[in-house]
Amino acid sequence: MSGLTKIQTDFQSYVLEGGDDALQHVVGSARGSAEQRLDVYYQAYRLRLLEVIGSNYPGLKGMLSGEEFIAVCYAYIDKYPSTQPSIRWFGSYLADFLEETQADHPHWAEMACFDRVRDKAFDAADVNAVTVERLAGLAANAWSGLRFEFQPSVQKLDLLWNVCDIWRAVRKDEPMPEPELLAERTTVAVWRLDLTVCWRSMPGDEAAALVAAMNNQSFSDVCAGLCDWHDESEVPARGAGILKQWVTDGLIGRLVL
Amino acid sequence: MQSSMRGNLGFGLGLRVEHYQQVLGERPAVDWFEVISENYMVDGGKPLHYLYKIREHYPLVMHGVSMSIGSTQPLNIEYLQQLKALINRVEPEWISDHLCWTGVHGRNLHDLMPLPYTEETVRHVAGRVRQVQDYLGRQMLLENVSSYVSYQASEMTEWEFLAAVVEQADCMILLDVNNIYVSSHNHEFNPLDFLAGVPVNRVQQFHLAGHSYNGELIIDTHDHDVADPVWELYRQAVKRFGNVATMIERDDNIPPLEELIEELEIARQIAGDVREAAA
Ligand SMILES: [Fe+2]
Repeated sequence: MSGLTKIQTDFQSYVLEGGDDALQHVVGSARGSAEQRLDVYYQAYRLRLLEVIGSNYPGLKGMLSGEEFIAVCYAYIDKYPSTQPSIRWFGSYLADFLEETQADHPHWAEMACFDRVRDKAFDAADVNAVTVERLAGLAANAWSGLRFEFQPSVQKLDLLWNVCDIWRAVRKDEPMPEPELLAERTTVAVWRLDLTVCWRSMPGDEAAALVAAMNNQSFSDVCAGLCDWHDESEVPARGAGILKQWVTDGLIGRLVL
Repeated sequence: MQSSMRGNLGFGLGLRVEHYQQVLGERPAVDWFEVISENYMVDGGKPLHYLYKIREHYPLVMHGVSMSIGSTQPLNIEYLQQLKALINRVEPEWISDHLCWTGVHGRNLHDLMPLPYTEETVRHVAGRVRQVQDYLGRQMLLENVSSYVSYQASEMTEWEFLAAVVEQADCMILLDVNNIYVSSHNHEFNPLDFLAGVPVNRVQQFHLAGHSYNGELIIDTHDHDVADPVWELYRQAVKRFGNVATMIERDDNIPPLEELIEELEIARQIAGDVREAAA
């Protein structure tokens, strides 16, 4: 190992896990011992990552007490050292980590997931959304084979807990509702309209249609799926209603004819 | 490789999210902005939207924090591809990163760790700067960092190291005046010796920033106004290096834009005083 490699390896091990081989490389002085000097980097590493998780996971940060949040973040920082040049992606495994380690607080992982999905939508690629006029102008024979390309920002997640309500309260700085199970599993769609991240929960039939359409099923197949939810006579109107809603929301980036 | 950019942009600020709307709405009298490259290595949305709009009205320079030019792990090609793509879209006046390392063995500490000042390191870093400059098709600037450790292995001063790297690499210098002050305190050297050891024709840009005390050590926190001794050192730097593009970095505890613009006036004033005294 070259001298430089050895110094960097030992230094990094000090910052990541307090490995003390680095002490031999560093000059101490009255102004600071070798240990005090290396500790500046050790502390700064944790504080910086704590801060970035706080800004990318505002719902989680607001929902947890200060102590809980710091404990969770420090455990995560130890388990998942950053591997990316951009600090932006540091929290990518946080939701999974919480799911693994916080079985007593299942809503923590759900909140982290909601934050992550919002964060992804924030700077996903820009695509002009299909307009209602464009949809209305389609020829009658184009409808059945019609498929959809969704905006790159569109994501869906299934929630069991009222984390969206808690998130809203955190955002508005209002008293938080108690964490509660929802009446049933609920799909929430998250996307960006121009520069604003939007989200709404969806009824079961619409969520199923969204999954189908995002899996590249044609509009007629999507509608066929709606027969599981509605009487056949109601399906065409419901299918058209859902599609119009998606276009109005700005979810669809391109119609594939 | 074409050498020596020089050409003075004047007095700039770091572009921060908090000021996006105001910069676009009011077009304040700031000569140019510096942006953190990594913040714009994303697919779309707000960051790129504002970046392109502001680019229409101001010259930009791109400042990176993750090149890890001094690391012993191979250069991150994916990162350099993203950097090059961003350069092509933004067309910055120039780009810079730090004379430091940020991680090894696939890890990133997201910090600017100092290098040992040895001949081995000079060769290693200069070779990598040449590779990067060849890949990007342009010269880059290397910035001196604030540091809290020095190494037993070092064979020369920080300024001798900086000078040797930029000569061997044929790159330019982003001289951070606050970092010189911070390191001179932490490692007990005379900051004027640092200035005197830096080759004049390599300095393309100055950084100014605030710092904080942590016990006996000074930390480069960028969360305060520029301190008086740093202004004094800036005066000496302008005397030695002349008219060099200057900007103030503020990353934490971010004040209203007006306050930063006022602070930038101090820099203009000092540079003006030095010019007059010389005339
Ligand atoms: Fe700097």
